[in-house]
Amino acid sequence: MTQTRGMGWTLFSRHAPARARAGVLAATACFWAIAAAAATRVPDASPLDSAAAGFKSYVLDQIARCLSATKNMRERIAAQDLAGAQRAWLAARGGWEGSEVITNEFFADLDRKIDAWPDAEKGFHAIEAKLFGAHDVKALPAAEELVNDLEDFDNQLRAATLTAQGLLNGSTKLAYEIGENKAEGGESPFSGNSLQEIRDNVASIAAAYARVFAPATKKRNAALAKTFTEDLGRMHALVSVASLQELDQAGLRTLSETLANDLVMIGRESGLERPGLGN
Amino acid sequence: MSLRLRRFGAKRKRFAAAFAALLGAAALTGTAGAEFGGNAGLLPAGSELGDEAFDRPLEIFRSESSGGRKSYLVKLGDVAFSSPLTLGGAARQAGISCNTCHVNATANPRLYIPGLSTRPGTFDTTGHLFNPKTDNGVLDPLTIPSLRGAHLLAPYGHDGRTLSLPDFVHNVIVNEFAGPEPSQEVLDAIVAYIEDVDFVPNRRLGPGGKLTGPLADAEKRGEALFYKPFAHDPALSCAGCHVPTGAFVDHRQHDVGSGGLFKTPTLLDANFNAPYFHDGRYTSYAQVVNHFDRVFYLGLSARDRDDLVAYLRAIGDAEQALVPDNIEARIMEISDFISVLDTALPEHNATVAALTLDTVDREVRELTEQFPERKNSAVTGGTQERARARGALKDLVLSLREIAGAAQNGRFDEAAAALVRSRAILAAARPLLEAGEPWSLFNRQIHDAHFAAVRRLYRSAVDPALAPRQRYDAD
Repeated sequence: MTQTRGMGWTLFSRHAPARARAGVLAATACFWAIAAAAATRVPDASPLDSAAAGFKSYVLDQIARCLSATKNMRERIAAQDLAGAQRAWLAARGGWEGSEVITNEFFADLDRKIDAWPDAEKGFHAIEAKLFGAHDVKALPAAEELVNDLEDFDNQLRAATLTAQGLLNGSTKLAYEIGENKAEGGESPFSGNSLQEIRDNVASIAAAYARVFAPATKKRNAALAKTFTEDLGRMHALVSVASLQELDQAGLRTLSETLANDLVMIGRESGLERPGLGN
Repeated sequence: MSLRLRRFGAKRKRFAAAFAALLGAAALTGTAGAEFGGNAGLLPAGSELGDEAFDRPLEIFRSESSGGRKSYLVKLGDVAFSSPLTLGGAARQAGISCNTCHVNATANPRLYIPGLSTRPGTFDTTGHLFNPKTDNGVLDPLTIPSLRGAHLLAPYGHDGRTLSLPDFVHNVIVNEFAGPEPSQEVLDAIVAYIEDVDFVPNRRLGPGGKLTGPLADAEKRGEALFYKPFAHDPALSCAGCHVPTGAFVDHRQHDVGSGGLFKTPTLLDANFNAPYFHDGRYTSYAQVVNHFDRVFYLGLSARDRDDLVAYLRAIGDAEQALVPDNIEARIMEISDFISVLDTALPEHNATVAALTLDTVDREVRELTEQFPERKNSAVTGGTQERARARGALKDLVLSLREIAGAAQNGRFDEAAAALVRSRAILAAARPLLEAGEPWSLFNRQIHDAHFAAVRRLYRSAVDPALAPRQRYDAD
C-alpha cells in the first residue's frame, strides 16, 4: 500500500535524514510547504499490516489473562472474599493494561465501559473504589457486567483485523498517556496499582514495537531503532522505582513525549500516516 | 486590560487529593484491615488545591492598563511563577508552583493541606513537608495573601519582616519550598511579574481613596466612622493605619490584639481575600469589625458596625474579580509563554528555554484535560470534536518536545525553526478547540456533570468504618 505522508510530520527529529533537515532549516517561513517538501521516501506498509495482524495473538493472551482473573474476581466477590477479590482485580488489570495499545484505538466503545473514568457504577474503577477504598465486596452487578463486557471484547478482538496504522496510533497515544500527571495517585489510586499499570503499558508498547515495527525500522533507519530501544530502556528504568512517590514525574513526562515522538518517526519510516492522538 | 486565567495541574487523574478532602480523606489512606493500600499521592491525603473551580481570578497587568505591553521579563516571570521547577522538594514533585497558592497572583481560599493548614486558605510555610529544614515544630499557618498591587504594599510577609520583594521571593523559593538557587534573571523576572499585577479596578473609589458616586447612607456613615478618632485614644483611627491615600496601608506593623505585630493589610480587593487576619481566623467583615470594637473599646452600636461593614464592602469591591475560564484565555497565556522563546532561543539561553518549554508543556497538557476523553462516562456528545481537540493539543506538546530537545543539545537554529512549526500547530488547533468547547469543561453543564461523577466515584470509595468527620462538602 502506497501512502502519501501526512502534512503534520515532525521534521526535526534527531533521526530525520540530513537532507530533509537541511531543507527544513532553509525554509522556516512556511510550515506546510516544508512538510510537503519533506515528503519523499514512502515505503510499502503492507508487510507491517501482516505483522500487526500477527500481534493479535499477543493481545488475545493478555485479554484471556484479564478475563480469567475478572471471572475469578466475580467469584470472590460472590463469596464475600475481599482479599481474594482484590488480588483478582490486580491480576485482571495486568492483562487489561497490557492490552492498552489496542483498547482505545480499536474498541473505543467497549473501552468506555470497561475502563470508564470517572464512573461509580461500572467498569474496573467503580469496582476498584469499592474493593480497595470502601473495603466493600458489594460489587457483584458491576463485576458481572465487566465479565460480559470483556467476553464481548474478546469476541470482537477475535473478529477484528489489527492494522499497523492502528497499532502505531495506539502505541503513540499510550506513550503520551504514560506522561500524564501521577502526583495524586495516578489512574488507579484506590488500589495503589498505578505504577504497575504504567509498567504494563510500557511492556505493551515494547511488545507492539518488537513484533510489528522493529524489523522494518532496523532495516530503514538503524539509528532510530537504536534510539527507540534506548529510550524504552530508560523508561523501563525510570518506572522501576519502588513507589509512585519515588517516581520522577518530570522525567516521566519528558520520556513519554520522547517515546511518542520516536514512534511518530517510526511510523514515518514505515510509510504510515502520522498517528492520530485524539481519544 | 488583559483577561488572564490560569489553572494548574492536569485534571483527569488529579482528583485524588481534592475529592478525598471532600470525603474526609479516607479513600486513599484507609488500609487498616485490608491487604492492599492506595496511592496516597505526593501530598497528604485530604489535600485540596481548588483546581476544580470554574471561575478564575481576573489578572490585570499595569503595563497593559497603561497602553503598553508586558515586557519579556514580566512574561518570563509569569512562566517561572507557574513552574514547579522554580520550587524544589515535595512541591516540585507534586507539581506545585507559586501559582498553585497564588492563583493568577491572588490568593487561593480553597487550598487546604492537612498538617499545614488549619482552615481553607491558610498554609504553614515552616512545616515539615516542603522543606524539613524550615520545620519549626509549630503548626502556625498564615493566610495566603493576594499579590495584586504588591508594588505598593512593602514590607513583605504578614509580619512585614522583609523590606525587599526580591529578598522575600528568594526566601520563599529557596527556604520555604526548598527550591534551587534562582538565577538573577529568573528572580528579577518573578519580581517584575508580581509588580506588574495590579488591583482589579473599583470605580467607586475616587482620588484619595474616597468613595464616589451614589452612596448608600450606611456607606456614608461607615466612611465617617472610618476616619473618626478612636474614643479611648484620639491618635488612632481606622484610616490612621489603613491610609486611604496610600492603598489603605501605612507600611507598618501593629499589635491589634491578634497575637503579635503584623503589618497593616490593604483593604483594596479585600472582598475577595477572605479569610481575614494573618491566621485567617475571621471569615467576614462583621467579625473583623467586632474584633476591633472589642480590642480598642470603640463602643460601636449595632448600626455603627453595620455601617463599617457596608463601607468596607464598598472599598474592597471591584467591577469584576473573577472571570470564567475559556479557550481564548488559555491560548493567550500559552502564546505569551511561548513568546519568551523569541528572546531565549536567539540568546542561546538554554536554561530559560527549558523552563519555558516545561511550563508550556504542562499548560498544554492541562488544557487537553479540559476536553474529556471518550472513556469519560460523565460526558456524552461531541465525541469527535473532543477527540480532535485532544489530538491537536497532543500534537502541540510533541512539537514542543522537539524544540526542547534541540535547545538542550545546543541546536538553537533548529529549535527556532521548530518553534515556527509549533506556532503553526497552535494556530491550526484553535478552531478545533473552539469546535470542542461545548463539550469541554469550559461549559458549566459539562464541568458540573464531570465533577459530580468524580465525587460519586470518590464517595463510593469511602470506608464508613475509617471515614473521619467530614470537614466540608462542596455540595
